[in-house]
Amino acid sequence: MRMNIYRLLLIPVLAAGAVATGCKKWDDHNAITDAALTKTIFEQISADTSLSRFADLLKKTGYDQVIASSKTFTVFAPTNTALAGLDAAIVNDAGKLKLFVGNHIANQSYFTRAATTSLRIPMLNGKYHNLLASTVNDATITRADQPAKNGVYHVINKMLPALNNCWGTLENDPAIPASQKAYMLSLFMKIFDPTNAVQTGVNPVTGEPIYQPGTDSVYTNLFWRSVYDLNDESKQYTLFVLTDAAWDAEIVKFSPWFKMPDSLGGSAPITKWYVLKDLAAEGLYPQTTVPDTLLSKFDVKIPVDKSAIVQTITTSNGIIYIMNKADVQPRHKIKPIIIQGEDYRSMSADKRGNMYFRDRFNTLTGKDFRDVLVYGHGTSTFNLKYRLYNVNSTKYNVSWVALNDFQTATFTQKIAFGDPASTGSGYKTVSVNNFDEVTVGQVEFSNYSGFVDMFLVATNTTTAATNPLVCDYIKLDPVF
Amino acid sequence: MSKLLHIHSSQQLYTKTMLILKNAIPVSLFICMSGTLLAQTEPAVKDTVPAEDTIVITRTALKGVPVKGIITDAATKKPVAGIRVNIENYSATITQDKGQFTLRAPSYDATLTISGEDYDTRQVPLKGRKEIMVALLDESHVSLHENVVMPVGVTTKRNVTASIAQYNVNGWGQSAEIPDALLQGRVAGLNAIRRSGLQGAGANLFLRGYNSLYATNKPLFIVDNVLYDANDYGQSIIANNYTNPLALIDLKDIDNITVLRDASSIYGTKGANGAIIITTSRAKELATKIDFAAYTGINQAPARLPVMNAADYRIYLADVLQSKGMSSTEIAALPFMNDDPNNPSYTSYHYNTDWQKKVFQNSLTNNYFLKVTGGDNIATYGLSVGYMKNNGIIKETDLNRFNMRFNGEFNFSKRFTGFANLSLTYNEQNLKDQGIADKTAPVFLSLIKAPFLHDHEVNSKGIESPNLSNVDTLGISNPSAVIAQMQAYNKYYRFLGSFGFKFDITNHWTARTTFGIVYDKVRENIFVPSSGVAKDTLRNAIAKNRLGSQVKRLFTVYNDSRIEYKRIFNRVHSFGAMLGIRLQFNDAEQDYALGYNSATDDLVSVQNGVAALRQIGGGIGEWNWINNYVNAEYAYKDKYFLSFNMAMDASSRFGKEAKEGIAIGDHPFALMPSIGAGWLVSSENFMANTNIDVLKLRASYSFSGNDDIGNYTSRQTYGFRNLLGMQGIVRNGIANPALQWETSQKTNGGVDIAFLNERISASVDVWSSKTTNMLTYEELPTATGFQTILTNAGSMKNMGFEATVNARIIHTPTIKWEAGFTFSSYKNKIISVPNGHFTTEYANATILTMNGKPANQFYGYKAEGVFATDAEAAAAALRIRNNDGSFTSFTAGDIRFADLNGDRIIDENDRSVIGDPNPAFTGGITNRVIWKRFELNTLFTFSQGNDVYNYLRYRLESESGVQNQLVSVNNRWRSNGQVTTTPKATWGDPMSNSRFSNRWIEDGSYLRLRTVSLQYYMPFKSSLVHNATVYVTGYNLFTLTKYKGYDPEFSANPTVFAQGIDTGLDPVFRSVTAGVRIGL
Repeated sequence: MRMNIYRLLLIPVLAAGAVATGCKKWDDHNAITDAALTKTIFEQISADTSLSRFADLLKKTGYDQVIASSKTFTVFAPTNTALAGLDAAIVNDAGKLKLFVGNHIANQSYFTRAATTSLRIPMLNGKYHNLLASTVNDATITRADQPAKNGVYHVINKMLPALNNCWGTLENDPAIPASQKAYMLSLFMKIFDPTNAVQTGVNPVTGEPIYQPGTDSVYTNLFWRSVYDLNDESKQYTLFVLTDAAWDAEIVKFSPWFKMPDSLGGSAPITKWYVLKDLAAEGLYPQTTVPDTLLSKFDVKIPVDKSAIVQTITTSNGIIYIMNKADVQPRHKIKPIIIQGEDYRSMSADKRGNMYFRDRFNTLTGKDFRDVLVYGHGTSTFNLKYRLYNVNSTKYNVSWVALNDFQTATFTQKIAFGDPASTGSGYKTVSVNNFDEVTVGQVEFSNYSGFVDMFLVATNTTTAATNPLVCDYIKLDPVF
Repeated sequence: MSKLLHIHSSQQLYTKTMLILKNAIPVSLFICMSGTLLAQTEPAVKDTVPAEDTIVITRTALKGVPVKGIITDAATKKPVAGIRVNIENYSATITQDKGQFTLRAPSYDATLTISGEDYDTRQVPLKGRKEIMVALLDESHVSLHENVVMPVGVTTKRNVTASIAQYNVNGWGQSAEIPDALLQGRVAGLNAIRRSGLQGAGANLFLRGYNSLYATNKPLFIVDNVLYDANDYGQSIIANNYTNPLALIDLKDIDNITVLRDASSIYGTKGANGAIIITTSRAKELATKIDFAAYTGINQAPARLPVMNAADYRIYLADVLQSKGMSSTEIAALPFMNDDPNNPSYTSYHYNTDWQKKVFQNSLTNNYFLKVTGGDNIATYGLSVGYMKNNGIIKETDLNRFNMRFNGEFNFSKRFTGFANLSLTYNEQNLKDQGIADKTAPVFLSLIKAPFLHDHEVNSKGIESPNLSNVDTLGISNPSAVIAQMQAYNKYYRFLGSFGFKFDITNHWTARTTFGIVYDKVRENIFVPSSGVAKDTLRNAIAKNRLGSQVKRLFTVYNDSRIEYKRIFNRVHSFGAMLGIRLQFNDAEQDYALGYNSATDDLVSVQNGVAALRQIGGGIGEWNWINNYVNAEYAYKDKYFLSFNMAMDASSRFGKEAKEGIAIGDHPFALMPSIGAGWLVSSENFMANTNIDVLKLRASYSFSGNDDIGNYTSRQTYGFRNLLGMQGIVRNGIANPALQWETSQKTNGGVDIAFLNERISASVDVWSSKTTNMLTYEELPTATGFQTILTNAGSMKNMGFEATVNARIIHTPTIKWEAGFTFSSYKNKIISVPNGHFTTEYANATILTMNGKPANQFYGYKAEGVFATDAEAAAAALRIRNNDGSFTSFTAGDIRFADLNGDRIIDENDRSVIGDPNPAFTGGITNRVIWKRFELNTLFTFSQGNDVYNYLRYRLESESGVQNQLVSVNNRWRSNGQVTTTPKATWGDPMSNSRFSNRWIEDGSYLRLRTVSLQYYMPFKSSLVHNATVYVTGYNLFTLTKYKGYDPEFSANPTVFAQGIDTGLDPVFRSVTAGVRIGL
């Protein structure tokens, strides 16, 4: 009863309200000025007869629901003409068709005005496309920036096939030469990775977690981890695959620098890896614009001789060139080893109280540098130990920069390899105020080594003025 | 001297003299000098006393001149019997059954007063006529003859020289109103702007424009001759809450309200803004009368603002996040972008919630009132008690009010009377933050909250938990949690007691005194929970939950004592004078404590906060005021009126070295004189044969002051500071011992006119006012260590016009229709401020105050559309300068701001005046229709030409963050070539497309059906119930406006600089109440 009274009261209120507020004042303000913004992308595409075939495909794959929903999308809609050549096998395979149609739709709105530099846009199927001005990959946008309520669509004159990526191509494309492919596929291994591991307990001694077997590792490829993950769709790579002959020739060419005793497997495995790691570059270099030299991840120059290209395969994340010649120069691959004096690994006696890390200015190079000085240590043949990594089986020129600016008398020091007592370079005089790189000798390694210990050794006295050690850096320059 | 006395004692001599020298001015003067004669009332009844023959003849001749007349009812046109006709202090009679009367008048210059029950009292000057015909209008008629309450006492409106307006309150029909908001549209010259739709929020009142920039602009309130402190001292700890003391007065206790627009110099340095004099009702008759009223009503939630729905909002969100630089993969990974129904979080992000519905509600009001009046010839009393519960349109807000009033009048003896008025009101209010409080104001939150969320927690199967959901992933508080869990209440009571005595020393001399005491206490508590509310950042901590407590106290003692003299000399010279003194002692205190991070949301009181974060503060204000005043009123022949007022004020607030006024001892006293003159042209004989019933010309010139200059601003004060753990005191600015009151100088010219048997009456006033010594902040040299000092360096003026028209359009016995119209208009102009101009900031708006312009101009950029293409933007080549000195160019989709100085850089030099919040005119239209037992009252109010800054729309169309936006944002610019007026959505708005510009300025003009009240007087009479009336009243039923906000009426702050800025306070709403009043 009480409620009824209030309802009764409400009648005049509502009646007056209907007359007065009439929400008219908002109508003008809220009116959509651009009719396109009232329709979703799908509504607009299906209204366009020149895109009817694409609209049908959208419906068939269910993507019509997606691009009518309340998120923003960019659709690259191929015209009917562009779709004329679509393989019936794709149309008839639901999975492939979904992959194909999804290759034309991206989340978020991408307008051509933003694509003044190449934009790499992720598509709904996981692939990426490059949008640059009015081109997307190699298709041309014929009608750009068609606005819609939930995004934008661009009409393109070529369809965007869903290609394999570089790794997929490498695995599946029959055109790929066998040897290099076989080697690359041999690099799979299991690697500890606790990201998805299931922990079953804690080691009572170390306190470390115990993981359920089989969950604590990933099966991955050394190339993906150490060089480039060729499965990564968001990036682009240029991969060189050598024909079998060229691959073999390249191995032979580099094996002198990677000599290994047969007991350790011989030189072949390590040479293969060193050849392979410099056969890929990041970035997309199509054949028309590819420069004559690319740089690998390890700063090794990869000469690109266009005449040596046997075949070019475009992938979704880059390009693969099949080459009949690599021609990577040993002097580019086998690099000098430079070690800073202050980066020693250990010392023969604890003389930290006598060590100085000095900031100096090199008047010859015009650069600042830091060096190490051990002075007044009072120890005969005091030495600093350095470790060199990945030392090739070749001859190196050894030189140093040692600045004797702390006394007017000269003194001597030597470089030894393996054992501080070995002869090595022999004691060499460190003259006063010399900023030059001074060659102190040569050293030759018979085998490739993962690491070699090197020593900077003081004279066999305890006199401060004659037994200092000073070093900016030591350089091992391979002799070709 | 003895001879004169002899003449006096001789009746015969006197009458002879009268006969000979009748109408001769010298005699008048003579009698005026000699004094006492006119007290000798000789009522007509004395005629029947037998007397000696000779004397009878002489007496007949002596008794002035005969006047005949017939009194009719203007509606029925029939004669009325039993109407009193009298000439003050001279003669009186009652009309006979044919409405006729005869009586003796002292001369044909005299004025008859005609009054009768249920009729409007009328003063009819004879103007030489011997016979008059008067058609009386009913009592409800708005008339120039009614009594008005002036600062100096009750007088007839017809005789007043000042510009005044009176509103006779019918509180029974408007139970939901409060006194300040009530006056809107009813008083010309008074611009009452309701603060918000909050219960009891009331209105900011501006009487005749602005008188001050930094001191108060509120008129002085006087309730039953006692100053009523209507200020809210100290800020509320509840965001943008205003404690309104005027909400404590029940309208049903008010008899009438007089608005004194000028000539308020009798209130000295408190009179600059005019005065509003409220008279509460008291017993009108001796018989015991009991009135009981009960009301119930419904408040309607306002129409929702069109914010985007979930689908549109998500598209907007995708756009704005993309502009933030998030990659499409990152955006797609956000939980609300997930459209896979199998995902566990799918359901919680796929609602379409109308958050405004979660915050607004239709609510109920109840109001009960009981009044008992009565008494005997020794004492009369009026006792009333009331209770009101008014639920707000915001959920969980309400106002409970208990009020009690006792008014008593006592006749101790014939000459010695007294009165006592006691009132106690207790307000208890549950509130929420409102306005600019981004994390806690439910209305604002309901607009920005993501509509795809739900207010309760939802599990992966879509089952709703009874628990309210917490702050969302976008960092926005849950409005429902604020409604349900935030506590903010205000408990407020005020005792106002006054008592006084009046002693008639002689017939002419009277002494009066009135004592008043105000004890006022406001207690506020807040608790903002950690759950559901976004965290706040303090200087050195993150505030999870917030607690607060505040007590504000005001104690005032007031006395007004005066001696009055009143005399009419020979019926020609009427003279009254008074000399008085007002004293006021005030003591105010504010104490607050704010706490943070109590251990759980169950510990809600402030002592549970972390000790290290506790903030304690407050203030003490003591000030005293003394006001010596004189008043003199003189009337000649009831046609020419002169009045003079002067006050001499001192206040503890004035600096010792005040330049103006006079110094007594060390103390500066302000001198505030005023004079007024009136000429009742219609009483002149040459007006005898016109249709004009009343025509009066008025003029006044007055000085008054504004003492709201701060209690201690003129003194050197010190404040406590903590530096690296060391306590010390430092100077608070530089004292200005010359600081004084602001002076307001007002000139007024007015005409009152009534014609067609007073069926049409009008008052027109033209006025100007000038404020000098206006408080301004003057900049100080850097070397002083302070930025500004408060000085009396400004001046400002207003000019205005106002008109009131009342017309009895239909006047028949069965139906009566009276229409009224008030209109006011003013132009405000700054004459001088330091440096010629300054700007102030409020709610992201810049307000310009500049010589030669109105005090508060919106000062911002001019937006001229949106760049449709990059080419267009490149052609315009506009850019902004960044903080590091580099430049950024405007591109497509940005607003094209007008480059006023042509340097192609959009910066503060490109601002101009983009709006003026001052209305061109305001007013009201009233209608009163009486038909049989029905009475319909309507009030329309209007405001025209005022610009409004829509802060809410600025927030809801700035397109710079994750907050939900208005539907209009669907129109945002997206691609080259799109022509629109809404710029693109950009995270953080780097180009400041949403800067303060004319995009946010709207026309705030409106016409509103403010009140409709229908009364029905029930036609029964029984021994138990004497009468009964049914009321149905609607408030704000419709509003015609182009303004896009909730409502065009709001006033977030009383300061001049905040007018016309809609900060999103709880909107004014529509409501309907029904009630019944029963007389026992």
